[in-house]
Amino acid sequence: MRSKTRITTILFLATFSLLVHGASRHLVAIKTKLTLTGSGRDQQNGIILIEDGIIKEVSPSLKIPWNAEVIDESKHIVMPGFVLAHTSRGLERANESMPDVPFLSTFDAIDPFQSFFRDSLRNGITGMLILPGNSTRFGGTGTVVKPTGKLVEDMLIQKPVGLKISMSPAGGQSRMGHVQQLRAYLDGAKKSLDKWNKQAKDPKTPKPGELSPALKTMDQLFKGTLKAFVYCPTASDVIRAIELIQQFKFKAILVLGENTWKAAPYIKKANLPVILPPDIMFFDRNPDTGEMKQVILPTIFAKMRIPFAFQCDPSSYDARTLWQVAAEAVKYGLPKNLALAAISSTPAGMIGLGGKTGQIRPGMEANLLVLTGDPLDPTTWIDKVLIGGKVVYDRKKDEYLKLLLKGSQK
Amino acid sequence: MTRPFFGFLFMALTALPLWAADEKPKPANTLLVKAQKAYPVNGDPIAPAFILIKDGKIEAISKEAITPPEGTPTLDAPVVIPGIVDAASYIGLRTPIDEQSDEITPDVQVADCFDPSHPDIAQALAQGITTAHVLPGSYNVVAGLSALVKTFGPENSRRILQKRFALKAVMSAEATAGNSSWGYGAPRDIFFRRPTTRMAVTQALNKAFDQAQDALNQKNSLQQDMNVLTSVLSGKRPLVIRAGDVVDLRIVLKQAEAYQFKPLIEGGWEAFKTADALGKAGLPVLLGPMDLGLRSQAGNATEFCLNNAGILAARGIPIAITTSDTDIAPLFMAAMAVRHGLSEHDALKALTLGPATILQIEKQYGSLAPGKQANLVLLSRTPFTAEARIIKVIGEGKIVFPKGEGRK
Repeated sequence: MRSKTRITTILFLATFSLLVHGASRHLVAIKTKLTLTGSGRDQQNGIILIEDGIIKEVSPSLKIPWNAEVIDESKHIVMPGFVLAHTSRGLERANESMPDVPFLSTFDAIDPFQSFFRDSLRNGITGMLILPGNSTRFGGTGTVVKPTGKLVEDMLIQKPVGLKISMSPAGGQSRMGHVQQLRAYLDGAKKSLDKWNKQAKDPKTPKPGELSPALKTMDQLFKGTLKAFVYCPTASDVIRAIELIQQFKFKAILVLGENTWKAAPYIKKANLPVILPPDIMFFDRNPDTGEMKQVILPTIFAKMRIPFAFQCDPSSYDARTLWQVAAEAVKYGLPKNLALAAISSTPAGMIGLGGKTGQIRPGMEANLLVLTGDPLDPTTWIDKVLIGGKVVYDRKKDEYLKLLLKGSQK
Repeated sequence: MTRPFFGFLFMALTALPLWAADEKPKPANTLLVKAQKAYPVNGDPIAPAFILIKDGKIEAISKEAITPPEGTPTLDAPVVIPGIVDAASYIGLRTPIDEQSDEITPDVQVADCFDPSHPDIAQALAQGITTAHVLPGSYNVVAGLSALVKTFGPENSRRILQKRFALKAVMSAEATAGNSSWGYGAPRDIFFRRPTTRMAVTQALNKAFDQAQDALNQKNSLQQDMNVLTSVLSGKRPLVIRAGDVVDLRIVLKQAEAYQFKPLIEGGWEAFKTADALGKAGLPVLLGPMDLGLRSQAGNATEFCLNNAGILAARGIPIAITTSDTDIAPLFMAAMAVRHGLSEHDALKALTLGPATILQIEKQYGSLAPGKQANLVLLSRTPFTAEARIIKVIGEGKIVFPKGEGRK
């Protein structure tokens, strides 16, 4: 009787420990026709082993463990999920009516039910930075989210990420006025923070009160824990932005408009990464001769070895999705690996996801796309999207896509 | 330089045999294009393809090597397609292009707003468009007469191929744009003059055609603008009706029946909803790109169907992919149509022979066949693949894009 109880107990414990063990080590193995790793060599007939949402091993000769769940995509191409480094979509109004509001967070205005998120997921975006719009001076801080979930809390990856600074004059102001206000605000914040720090360190003076929310954000900016995303619509804005960045010594990424390519040598000299506008090819008209010159932005920046990421604009027709922008760039001569990096690993690095997403290698999160063909081919479809090793999108179950293709009549 | 001058030069050179021992007589204006693959569109693809061009026209196209006249320059190209025919375009126009004095202005000509040196013509050429059907604006009911233009040639020359080509009418809420009095109050000012609802747009368009019908029946001495409307009713001039939403398309279908004409539908965003009726009536659709930013789930908004082109083509409806009032590349739009269900052949046809046939200019444009205008687009790869880009455009036998590579 006693021994029987003991055996039962042992058996129970063994089962329990196995269960616990199994739960802590959830293994998934994906068989692929081709793995576009985004970090050096691509692999034919590859296997990606995922443990608890993190990529453990990537190798064609890998032995699949007996307890791994196998996802057979041996007819498909697998690549890292796309990353969008700058957007002001998905918000219920993207601009505050006051210009200097660095203490605001887009987290408070993200609307998970906007079709933008479903469209983004369908088009392979697994992480994005949502920043305030460009119609302020210090617009607020950004939020990195994934496009899944019904609550912004479920979508959240990290915050605050990035502070929006816009060089575009807002509210009928002149450029002179706008730049001077930016300078004055940075100067004021710097002086206030210096005074506060001095007071906090000096034992003779009474301890200062808590920092205001605005100064807390500016403090993060000056300390380098928060990057500025500086929107520059024109080339002359780039020069003024560089002046501010160097004078007040903060980390920055330039969010560029079309004509800013003329300032590319200065961007290179200042060693700043950039986010290119959605339209990467346009015609520049010589004001004197009227001659039209075709300008292809990514090749200009690639030649100068300035790190760049693409962004898309859901309201445009030909730059709606990240893969369309990358395909356009390849069409105009950008090497394919650079184009793919500009929609995966480079933007991931810009929004604090470097080393976490954007490549397929051990240690990275399993944010993956399963594709029916070449990622930049117009007839290729994204069949599945995996975030953290879980399938979060399946084209077969995409009812809205069916409606888009058939129309509601038939 | 004129031909007599060349003749003189030729004589001068042959008269100096010592100096010009190696000079061969200059052949007629010829060019040989050697392509790995050509899509004539009126038939199956040819690979490899030899296309001989003479005096701005296609002389011969063949799978077998063609021996060109001596001294003919040759051009190698991976892929060749015919020059794109844009059947609904707004390029080269100096605004304003909406006549506001009346809602019915059939006799105004868009050719009068056309500026051959307008920068967007160069853009259209870079996108492979060689022939464009340019329309007047969309803010009145009968907008005026369109023009057929080419996108290349010496800038100073008029690029208009045909003025007074087709009549454009608008059967949509666009024709009411801006028509309300201040504060939506009583009709007390000049802005409250033209239709403000779909109902009134329909009524105005019907009234214009009724009057033209009466004039035609009674053989009255007609006013000039009546001539335009009656020429449409008697089938002598094409009619383009801009209509996008399904309610508008149904009205156009009714009008087509009542007035016994076959208008070309411009826009046609919701055409997939009445594809059967459009197919039965045999009305061609000049598909325009839809503003995706305005897409909404609301019941009152235009419904958006990614495979609109594919659904129409499957019913045998003649379609053309057009830029309409945007600057989106036609090859890109066609690639997206292929992505969503249109066959590759139909997509290529919708850029070239399809619009040419709809505009009844297929004898000269839209395909690669002997006797046609030598308008060619040279691509780096098969159309509708990721890396296919336009390398060169040939207009009437001369390299017209990129600039500066023309034959001397």
